[in-house]
Amino acid sequence: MKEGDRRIRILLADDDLLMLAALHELLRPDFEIVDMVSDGSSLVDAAFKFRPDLIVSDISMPKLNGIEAARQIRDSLPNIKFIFLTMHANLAYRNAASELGASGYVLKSSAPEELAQRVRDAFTPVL
Amino acid sequence: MKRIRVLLADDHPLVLAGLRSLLETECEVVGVVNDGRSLVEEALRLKPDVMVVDIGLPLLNGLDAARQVKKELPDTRILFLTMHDNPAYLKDALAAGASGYVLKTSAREELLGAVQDAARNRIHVSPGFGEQIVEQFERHPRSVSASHSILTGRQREILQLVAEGRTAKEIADLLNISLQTVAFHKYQIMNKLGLRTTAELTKYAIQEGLILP
Repeated sequence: MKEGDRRIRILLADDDLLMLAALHELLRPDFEIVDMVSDGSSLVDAAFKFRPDLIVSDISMPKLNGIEAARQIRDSLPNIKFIFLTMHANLAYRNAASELGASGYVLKSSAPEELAQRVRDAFTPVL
Repeated sequence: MKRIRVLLADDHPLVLAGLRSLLETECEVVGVVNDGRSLVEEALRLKPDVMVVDIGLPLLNGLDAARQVKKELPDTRILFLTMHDNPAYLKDALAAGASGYVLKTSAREELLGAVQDAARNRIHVSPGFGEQIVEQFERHPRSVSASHSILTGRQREILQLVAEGRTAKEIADLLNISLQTVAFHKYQIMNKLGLRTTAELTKYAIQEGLILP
């Protein structure tokens, strides 16, 4: 998919509803938000239903954490890209995310521009 | 109708930016800050109608910042935004003069509603705490955390900065006081609390919720 042909379709997941609404407001101007969910098993369901280009997900969520949900989605839908969002810099999480081939790992303490940039980077072809 | 003027404080820039665009759908966000000391400065300068404040702010926590602002600007309403569903924090927030206490797990509509309530001087507390804590507080408003009865406001400020790992020189610069005064306050805090090391002070500050573990 080339950027510019159509808007990047994003699925958002965070158990913190205010954060979810905040992310929606942040990303809405540049991307299409297909759905927002607040636990891991709803994330898996929504991924199959909407087949987004990219998922921005919190790591610690009820029912199924973000990493586990990503594993399940990856098995059947290998083209969906992932960016994980987390409150704390945690090496174990970061390693698990990179093992999964995640396109990014963004701290909630990052600058707001960083998230949008990571989303665009995920679709920039490597020369 | 005049839009409610809001000052927003959170130490996570991504969260801050998101909350800002969320609040801007209905309010005028007059300022955003990342720490408690800037919150006090900006509040005194901008005189917002409502401050939306994360409790766990660096340099000066949200509760102590709120107390300082309330002293100068008693009409400014304060809404705390927090991840803690701990009733002790809620009591402290109400004692600091809060008009609301909203959990970060709340929906967008709840936050916007709580800002409206605060502007009308109505107290809003996220569901889940039950009304009894608010009622209890109205009957016994003095049941606040231990450090309030023991330490002065200045001493609590210094305790938080020590627990954040700041040096005496940094604290002196931040508060515009001499190194000797910092040392004197630290000595007095240790004396009052019966603690001997910086590690013990840090542990106490965490227990009291002045900083997050």
